Amino acid sequence: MIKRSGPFATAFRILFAVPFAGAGGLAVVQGVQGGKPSAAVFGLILVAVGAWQIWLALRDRRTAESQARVGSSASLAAVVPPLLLDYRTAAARPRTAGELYGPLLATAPLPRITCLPGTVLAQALPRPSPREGIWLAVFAVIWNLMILPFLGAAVVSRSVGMGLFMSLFLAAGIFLAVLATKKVLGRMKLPRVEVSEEPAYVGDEIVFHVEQRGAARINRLQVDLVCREWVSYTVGTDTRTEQYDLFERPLVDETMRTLARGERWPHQVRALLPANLPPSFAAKNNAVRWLVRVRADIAGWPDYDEVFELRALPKVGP
Amino acid sequence: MSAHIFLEGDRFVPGSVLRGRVKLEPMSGDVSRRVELAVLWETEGKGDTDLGVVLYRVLADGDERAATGEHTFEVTLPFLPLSYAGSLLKIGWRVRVRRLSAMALDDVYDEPFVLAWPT
Repeated sequence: MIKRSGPFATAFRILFAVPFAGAGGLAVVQGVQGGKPSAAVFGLILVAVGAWQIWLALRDRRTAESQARVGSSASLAAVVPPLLLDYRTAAARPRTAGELYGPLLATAPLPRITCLPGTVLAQALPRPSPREGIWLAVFAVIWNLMILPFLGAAVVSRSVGMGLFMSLFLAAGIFLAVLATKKVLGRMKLPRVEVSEEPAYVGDEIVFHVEQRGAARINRLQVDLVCREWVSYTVGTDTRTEQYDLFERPLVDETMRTLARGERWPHQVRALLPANLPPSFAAKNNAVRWLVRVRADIAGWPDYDEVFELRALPKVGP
Repeated sequence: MSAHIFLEGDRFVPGSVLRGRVKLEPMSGDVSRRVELAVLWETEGKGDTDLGVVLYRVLADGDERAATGEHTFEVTLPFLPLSYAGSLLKIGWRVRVRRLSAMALDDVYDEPFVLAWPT
């Protein structure tokens, strides 16, 4: 259960924030009176930071239940009867999960997935976010830019000890840059993953189409269907994540294939999303994710190991 | 302060209506404390807690009659998330009555229920 802030914690946070806001206010006044716009801007920033902290302190004094956005039960109520009716009276064709849950997909605690139309099957799963590689690259660039002047100064002053010491930091920065580059390059060889249905029902069989394109010399290609629990938690100021695979089914495991530029290497597999497994769920710190994990060992090129996500939803009714 | 939560069952189907009542029996001196009712899902386990609220209501906030009375409520339950007990995380549904305290921990009364399709 989420605890709300106690009165002393709230008071402490406000007391901590008030000097910021006060000093900021003084800086604004002095900046305006003295004709110093930079001081006024600086003061405004301090006022904003202080006010923000006070607002956070007061917000956290409220209960988690009152802070949570109440799910619009009215709109859900409007959706529910037709859903049940449609499912049970559909004589010709049972409704797909997308049709059935359509209005709820945007509001329910589910991953936000926007598929593109597939070329072979109905939908192409979106490529995994490049965020991790980009952040790593940005961090590596900033890190190295910070280290280089110090290393330069050590070289100019012929300080061997300082030079060696800074070289260690530079080596770490280069290592990060190499990692980021490998991640970005590896993504360039990612296969296209299409599915016959997204979202799909847990308990249904769906078709997966995985297409690797050349040019590439693939030593090994592995594709797995995975159902994974994922959690994040804070320990002090650190945020840690943990995951546990509830289910893993190999879809493709092939070795030694050389693809010419533009050549395609398709694999089509039918697989069951076992009914005893949980449906997709996504909240800020907890998730149940249905994934197509793709891994390749590529000769002469960075390998990739990424996941494409799909939504698996519970079948409506007994 | 004591609060009793009564539900019309402990297992519900998504999309069904949850009906219940809350009986508040505060100890003397607790009458003026604010009492909140929520129907919610909440995660438990290794991860930090996430929650989603489908009904939120202030039952009493200084009013003696409200603070000692009986309150009925009903809400249409959503389709997701379903109750779940996994390895790293659990998703639990509950009716929660919280009596706020200015200087101490709140009194919290939970009545869990299951949201699932019949198997």
